[in-house]
Amino acid sequence: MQDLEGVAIVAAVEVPYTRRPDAATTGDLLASAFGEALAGCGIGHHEVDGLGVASFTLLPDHAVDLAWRLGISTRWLMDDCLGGASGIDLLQHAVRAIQAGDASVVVLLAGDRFEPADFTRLTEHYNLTTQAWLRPLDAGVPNSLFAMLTSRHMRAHGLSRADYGTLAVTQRRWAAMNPLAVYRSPMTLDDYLHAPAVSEPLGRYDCVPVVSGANALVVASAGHPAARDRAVRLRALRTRYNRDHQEGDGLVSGLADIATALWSDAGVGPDDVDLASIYDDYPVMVLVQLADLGFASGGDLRALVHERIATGALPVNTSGGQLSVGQAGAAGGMHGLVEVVTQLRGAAGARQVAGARIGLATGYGMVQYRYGMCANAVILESA
Amino acid sequence: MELSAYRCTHCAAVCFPRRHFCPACGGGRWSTVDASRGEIDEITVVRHRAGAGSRQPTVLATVRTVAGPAIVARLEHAARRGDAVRLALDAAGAVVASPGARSPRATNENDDAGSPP
Repeated sequence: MQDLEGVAIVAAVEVPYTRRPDAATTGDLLASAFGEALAGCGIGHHEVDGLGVASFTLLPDHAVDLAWRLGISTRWLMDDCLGGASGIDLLQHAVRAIQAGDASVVVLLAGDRFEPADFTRLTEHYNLTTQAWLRPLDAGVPNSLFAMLTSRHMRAHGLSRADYGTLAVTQRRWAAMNPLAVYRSPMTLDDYLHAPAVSEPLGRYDCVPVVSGANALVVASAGHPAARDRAVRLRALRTRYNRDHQEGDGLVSGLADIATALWSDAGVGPDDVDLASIYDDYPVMVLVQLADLGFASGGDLRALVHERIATGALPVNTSGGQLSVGQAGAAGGMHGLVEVVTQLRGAAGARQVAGARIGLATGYGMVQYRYGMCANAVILESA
Repeated sequence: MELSAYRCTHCAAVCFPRRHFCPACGGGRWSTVDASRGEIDEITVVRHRAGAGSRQPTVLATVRTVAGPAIVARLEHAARRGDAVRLALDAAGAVVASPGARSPRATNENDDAGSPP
């Protein structure tokens, strides 16, 4: 049992994602998220004594450079490099910093500004393994890697493209109710199935659109005045990184290893979750993670997709997810968390899940060679 | 050029790419082992790459090597899942798969014992 007491999330914001960057720099996007987050919770600029940042394109700047640009002096700083798992990683450390007294108000930022060339450079130089062994293949990583993973998953579970497509179509229905989603126009299963192929069996709507944008969370001690209004508390947070040394098939994530402890810490089970943000770099990974966390009774993924997710009985990726909202680099690792906090605060507008009290967010990512190495999850509760 | 995987001199676990320490036993010494033979586990035809405009499709394969590790390779001939391939490094450092003799693993699956490993 972990101690996550004494800490609250008091703000969660998203700087609107855009297909073409309208901010001049990544720092501009992160600064917008910072300003918006503080305005949202009424915390003063000089009260912030902790800053955590996740970004691929902030370089050559780091968290301390950003602190200088933001005009804050801090007692606690963190540079995060976990991509799709960055939001929950930052949150884990911020909670510990506040509990330990190293900081009292922490702002967590994640975001990226991409020109097309920036994105190509990022994917080709993601790590040394990518540079040495994948880049020379000149074959569109990571889409091609997750295409092969999807083929394996289809065979293992007897699924068809329409099953994954149903996830994408369902998320687009949620996106239609999210004014911040970049892609909101209705999409049918036919649109999905007949979209141009990217890397077989993946088509256009299996791949997240690259966008620019940023997200922010403000974490404070539970006694802070900002925590009096619709604060969100943590019930469980678990992580697992490099579970199988890339020697498996990628069809199981680190969430499988933490699921039992996560639910036990939270004192709830999958049936108690009112909504879930599952990291959706590809539809297949939504199913892998949900299965790892015990959402597919009897391992029946088809029933999970068609009877629970498509019907809205289990609200998954209610923002539209990255598949419809877009993936703003490292912000993708905080986007789902921001959506869960927004829902638990009753601030999700037309897409609000009525009575949402318990929410789940997951993070996944950092492909070493064939699939992601990082997985983490958090269960949140409206205070 | 020949393609090698790495065998831990302590516990004989085989890795690709190379690590500093063995994930199985923590050992830090390696010998090389031939990783040029295997069979195709997965294939994808890559038709679109971000920022690459329209180009000829590239075909990628995940190859389960006889040595053990799965290696991602470019496939330059028509092939199917389960086909035996030979892996080599081209001048640009890409792992390229070409048609190979039937691998021992495929042979075993057919109960055709007697082929040399």
